[in-house]
Amino acid sequence: MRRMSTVRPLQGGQVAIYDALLFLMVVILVSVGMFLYSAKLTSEGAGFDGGTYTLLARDQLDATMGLKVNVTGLYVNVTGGPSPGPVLLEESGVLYRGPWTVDKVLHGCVELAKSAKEESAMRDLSGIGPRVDRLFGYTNFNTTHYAWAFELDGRVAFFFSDSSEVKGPDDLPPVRYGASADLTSETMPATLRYYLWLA
Amino acid sequence: MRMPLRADRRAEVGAFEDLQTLVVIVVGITVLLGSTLFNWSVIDRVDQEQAVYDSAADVLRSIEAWDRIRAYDEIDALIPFFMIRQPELVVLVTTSQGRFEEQIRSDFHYNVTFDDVEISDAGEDRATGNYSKFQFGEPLPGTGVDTAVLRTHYTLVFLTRVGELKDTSIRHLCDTTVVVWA
Repeated sequence: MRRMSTVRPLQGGQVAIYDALLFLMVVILVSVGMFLYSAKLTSEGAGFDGGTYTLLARDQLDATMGLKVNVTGLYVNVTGGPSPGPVLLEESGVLYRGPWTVDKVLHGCVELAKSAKEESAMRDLSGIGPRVDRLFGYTNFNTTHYAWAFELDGRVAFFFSDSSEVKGPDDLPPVRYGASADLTSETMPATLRYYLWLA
Repeated sequence: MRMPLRADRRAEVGAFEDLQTLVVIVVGITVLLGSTLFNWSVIDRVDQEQAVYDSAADVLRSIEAWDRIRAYDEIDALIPFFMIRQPELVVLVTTSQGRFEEQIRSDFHYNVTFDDVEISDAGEDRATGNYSKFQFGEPLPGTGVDTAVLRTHYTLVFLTRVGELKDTSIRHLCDTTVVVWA
């Protein structure tokens, strides 16, 4: 007596249909993949890339560094050291050739801080921030937010942002673009940083 | 000699066993071709739009790479930051028309406006070299044309002379707008 086979062999027609279904499945997978890819591209749309925003950040930094600061009547208070008392920034010994630009005022801050450190004196530079803040405020666009941070001797000497939610470097959004200018003078490290992020 | 396949039931590799299978294949290829063409057109459209944005950034880079408009200080030393020599813009819009477009090239149409923030249109006095705006490129397109707009700031450095001495202390903020369209 012949034993009944439990697995029925495939007929030629069935094999062809399975082959066709397999082919159809591949077609569907490829098509869906392409649709998903193009949908992703379309949803992102065209726009400026990260390199362009970095370029804009650099522009804002350069534009601001060249602007003229009104230093008339700007005093720097000195406490301790050989000659304490208020000193006019213009007469503080950090004279530069040409106009007092943001770049030169900040360089002046660095020089004053350096000499204070050497003379064991304290120099109050807080009056300089508000003079420069107004110029920092020019870098305002409707579609972006910005922040400025001036780091002097390892700490943030002043910070300025157009966003009320960003009150210090720790509040900066993780996705941002930036540019910086190194203003270090010998033993006094200093950096001006500009941050830009999309609103 | 036929290779035995799948329990040797004369099945063959390939799917053209009958008309039904052939229809499946034809439909499959049609779907594949259709979706390829559709997706291709979508990606191509996005690429074309992106090219306009990229071109706007290229125009800005070209401006910043053009030494002729870079500012010098009072002893004719190049200022390390990119700033624009305002008198040179005056020359470009008055006596060297077309020079800007020869230098700043793009595959698309563009318009560049340097707007002196500190001189209003009403306060413009061209006789003394105080211009409110400097425009280069083609006139701006009307509404309905898709444009890529890029705005940034530069510092305009003026040049005055006091006897033999040069003075570059006058600085104005310049709102710069690059508009590019296909």
